[in-house]
This record gives sequence, C-alpha cells and structure tokens, in this order.
Amino acid sequence: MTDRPTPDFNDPQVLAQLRARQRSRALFMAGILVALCVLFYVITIVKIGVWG
Amino acid sequence: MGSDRCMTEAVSQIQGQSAAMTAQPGVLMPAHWRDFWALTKPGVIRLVVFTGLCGLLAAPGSIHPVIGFVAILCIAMGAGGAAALNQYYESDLDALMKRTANRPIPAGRMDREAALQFGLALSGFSVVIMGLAVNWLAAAILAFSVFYYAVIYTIWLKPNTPQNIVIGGGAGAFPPVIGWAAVTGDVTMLPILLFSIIFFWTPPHFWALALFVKMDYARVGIPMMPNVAGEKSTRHQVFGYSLVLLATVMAPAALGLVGWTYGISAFVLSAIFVALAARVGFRTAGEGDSLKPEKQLFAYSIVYLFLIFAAVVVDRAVVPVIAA
Repeated sequence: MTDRPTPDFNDPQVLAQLRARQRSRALFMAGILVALCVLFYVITIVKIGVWG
Repeated sequence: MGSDRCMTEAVSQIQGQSAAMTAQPGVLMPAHWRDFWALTKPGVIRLVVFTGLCGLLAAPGSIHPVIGFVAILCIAMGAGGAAALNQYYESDLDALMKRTANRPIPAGRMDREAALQFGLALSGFSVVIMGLAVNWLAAAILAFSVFYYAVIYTIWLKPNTPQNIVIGGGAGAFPPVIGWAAVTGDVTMLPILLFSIIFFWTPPHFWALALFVKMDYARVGIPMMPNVAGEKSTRHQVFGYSLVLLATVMAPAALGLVGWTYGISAFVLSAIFVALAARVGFRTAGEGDSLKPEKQLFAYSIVYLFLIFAAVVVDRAVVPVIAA
C-alpha cells in the first residue's frame, strides 16, 4: 500500500476532487443524522403508544 | 477582502490536511461515501436481511411494523459493521487476492482507521438501538453475532483452521434467531433449526466457491479445505454436508413445527441440492476444467436458501391466513 503515487494537492483538479469528496461525505453524514433523528422520533412515538 | 482571507484559510486548511494525508502511507483521498457502502458487503447483507425478516415473520405473535422495521435495520447495520471490521482486519490479505483486491482499503480508496471507526460505530449503534427499541435479548444475540464474525471467525478461525467455514458459519446463521427474538422475546426450537439450516448450508455453499478460487486462498496462506485436505476430500465433504443439510431442512416438518407446504417444498429443493452436490462430490476436475458443476452448485445454493426461508414464511404466516 505504500508504493502508490501520492496525489498532488496543489493541482487544482486534485483539489477540486478532494473538495467534492468532502462535500459528498458531509452531505451523506447529514443525511444519516437526519434519518437517525426521524427514526428515534418515530420509535418514541410508537413506544409511548400514541401511534399503533 | 474578507472572502479572500477565508479562501486563503480554506486552501491552507486543505493543504494542511493534504500534508497530514501524504504523511500517512496508503492514504490518498478521503473515501467516497460509496466506499463506506461497499465496506458493508451489500450482497451479503441482502441474504442476512432476508433470513432475519423470515425469522421475524415466522415467529408467533405480533410486532409493531415500525419496531419490526427497526429490528431488521439493526440486523443489517450489525452485519454491515461486522463486514467493515472484517475488511479492516483482512485488508493486507485482500490486496493479494484477485476477488478482493478492488475492495476500498486494498484499492487505496480508504484509510484503514476510517474503516475501523465506521465498523465499530455501526456495530455499536445497531446493538444499542436494538436494545432500546426492540428488546435486549435480540440485542444480546446481535452483539454476539458481530463478535462471532469479527473476532471468532475473522481473527481466530479463518487464518488457523480449515474448519473455519464450518464453525464460522454460525456467524451468518444468527439473523433468523434475532428476528424471532425481536417478536417473541425468547428462542425456541424452530429458530434454533433455522440457525442450523444456515449453519449446515454454509460448508457446501462456500466450498463450492473455494473449489474454483482455491488458488487465491493458497496464495495468501488461508487454510481453506481444498488447499489443506485436498480437492477430493473437499468434494466428498460437500456431498456429505448436503445430506446433513437435507436432514436439517426436513427436521421442522418432521417435528410438526411447520406444515406440508414447507415439507414438500423443502424436500424438492433439497433433493435438487443433493443432486448438484453429488455431481460436485464424485467428479475429478482435469486441467483447464471450467468447473461448471461447482459454479452451478454455488449459484443454486444462494437461490436455495432464499426459497427455503420463503417456504417457512409462507407456511407459517401466509397459509394460516388463507385457511382462516
């Protein structure tokens, strides 16, 4: 694994790729957190017997 | 002016990150979210979710649909977390095998530490959510199944014994038990038999695969049965386990835990399985052999498990509704 070429982060294209990946991961993480909030909310509603 | 300074700070921050990344061998770019998805072995999760769902649907009693969904989600998350931990531990070996070389860590798309953190977080969350939302028996079995796969199988059995798949098969056999426990809060004879079906299905399923990728395993020194006991012995064992599987699959019907719908379906499906296993068991592969019977058995074994579990659900959940 150590013999792979290291990307040049001064290259604008590589930098753009890095930013795009960071953005996609941040959005994905935000989506997961929102989904967990909704899940906990729905579980609570079900557990206290309001729904079903 | 202010935006220029922000831009400069952002660039220096990224350059700082990049310096940190280049200092760490093997880390190229932050992993894409698709790599995290690949880390969970989605193909395996499909079977895990299906068998877990069947255990849940076959159990007597009822469960709120939302809680049932949460139980299945937790089973999937636990399996995904265990798969991530497996890939974290085996990344060096994966890099040497053609079948696994393109996984996120050996392909250089992901840092090992990120995989470890992801696996631990996913496993931990799945157990805690299962305990809080469903019940703690299901959570305990889920926790043990993750431990079984990530530690007992991956770290202990797989590199040390050709029986790795036989004993390790237990790791993939827990989902129907967890699904059952999620509904009933206990474990009775039928879920134990469902566990046994997957347990005895694993050796012929996996050894059929090992027969046509055995060079991969030999190259990295993993003691798979064909490399240790030889091809002939493995073939005989594939056939032997298919007979044990036939007996196990018929046990729920023989004990009266399921009806004739399951009994007939299971017998027909298992007879085909034994016939395919017999073709593999009593042949000798020559030089340049396409290994078609082995590939057919491997492909059929996946369909077989889906259909057996579907038959359990149809027999226990659908037929009584139609009869009523």
